[in-house]
Amino acid sequence: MLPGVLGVMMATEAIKYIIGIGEPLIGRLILYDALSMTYREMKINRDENCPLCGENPTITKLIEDYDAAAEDPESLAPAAD
Amino acid sequence: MKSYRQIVEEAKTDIPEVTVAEVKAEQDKESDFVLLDVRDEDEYRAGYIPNAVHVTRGMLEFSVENHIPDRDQKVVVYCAAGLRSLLAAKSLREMGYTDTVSVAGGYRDWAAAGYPTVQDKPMTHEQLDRYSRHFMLTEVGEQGQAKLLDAKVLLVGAGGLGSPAGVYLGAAGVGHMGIIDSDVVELSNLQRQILHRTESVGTPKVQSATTTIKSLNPDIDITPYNLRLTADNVEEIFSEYDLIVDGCDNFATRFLVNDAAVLMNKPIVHGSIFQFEGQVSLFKPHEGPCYRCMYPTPPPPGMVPS
Repeated sequence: MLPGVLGVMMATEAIKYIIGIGEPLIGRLILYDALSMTYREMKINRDENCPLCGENPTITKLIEDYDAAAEDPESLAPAAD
Repeated sequence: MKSYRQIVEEAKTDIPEVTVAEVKAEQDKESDFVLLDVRDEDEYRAGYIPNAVHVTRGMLEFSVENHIPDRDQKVVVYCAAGLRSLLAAKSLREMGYTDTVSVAGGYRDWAAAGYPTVQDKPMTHEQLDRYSRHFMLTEVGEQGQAKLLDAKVLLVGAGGLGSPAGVYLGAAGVGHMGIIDSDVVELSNLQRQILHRTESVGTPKVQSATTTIKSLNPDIDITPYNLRLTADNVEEIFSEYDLIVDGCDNFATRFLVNDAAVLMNKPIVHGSIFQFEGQVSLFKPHEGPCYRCMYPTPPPPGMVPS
């Protein structure tokens, strides 16, 4: 049942975004807990040091093999300056 | 008792009028104002001024706040010839909108001047019926439905999250949907992955997803991608879509989706679940955080729930 709740929230966000209505979840993370039937909202900020979308990104093109990289998290990390 | 003429004359003393040439000039300068079309649905359907917000005169007081929440926003109101818009602009003043003007000559003069107009793709009788409940929501309306029908959304994963998302996006009339998944349906999927049916076990998920959504809404087109998203194919696939709905179930794909979306400036609706908890957000590149702002790298393999 849990994925149903989350998937419908995702569809709702998609539809709001397409039509351009309401408050989109940009910068906000909704955390849903089915057992306690509660949800929390967390503010999430852009990281200016983000290796991808930060001010000086170190990731400027795709990594070749994401499967291999997921096995070896360090290889997904930005290269040292 | 006031005659219609008196009411209009009174409105004219309260509400400044502008010509279509002035509106055009302001639009060309990209001035900050909202152009509000208050004509009836059928008039609007026949064509409107680009970027206009549509609220019929009849629904104006009920729903204008949903479209124009800022009462100090400049509002330029037009109708067919400039009378209803005068009255509408006056009602807006009474509601506390401080800067409302009416377009003299309205849409008639605009079109006669040869200025650009737009017309939403006319909806069929079946579409008008199918989406009629959306039209009752003033925030959606025919304009919103037209946007949905024009939208191109890519669903990454046709599993637990992709199923309900795909069903509702399809039902709502998102006109173009891509679905990417390399798995086949297994019996153990069916307890939650509502896109698939018992008779689909053993067949590709994208195929059964397409069949289910199409039977729910034959009005939309679906492109199935029976493959795994990789660095080699992601750019070609993403380039076809305006919005990515990421319901994938592994970190490799999640990072790939995030990286490609940021590099290509595509928004992602993000969702993930683990046991009884889940999270949702919307990552809009450069306007808000991306997945890597939260998690620069995946957790070590031993930590990954599967």
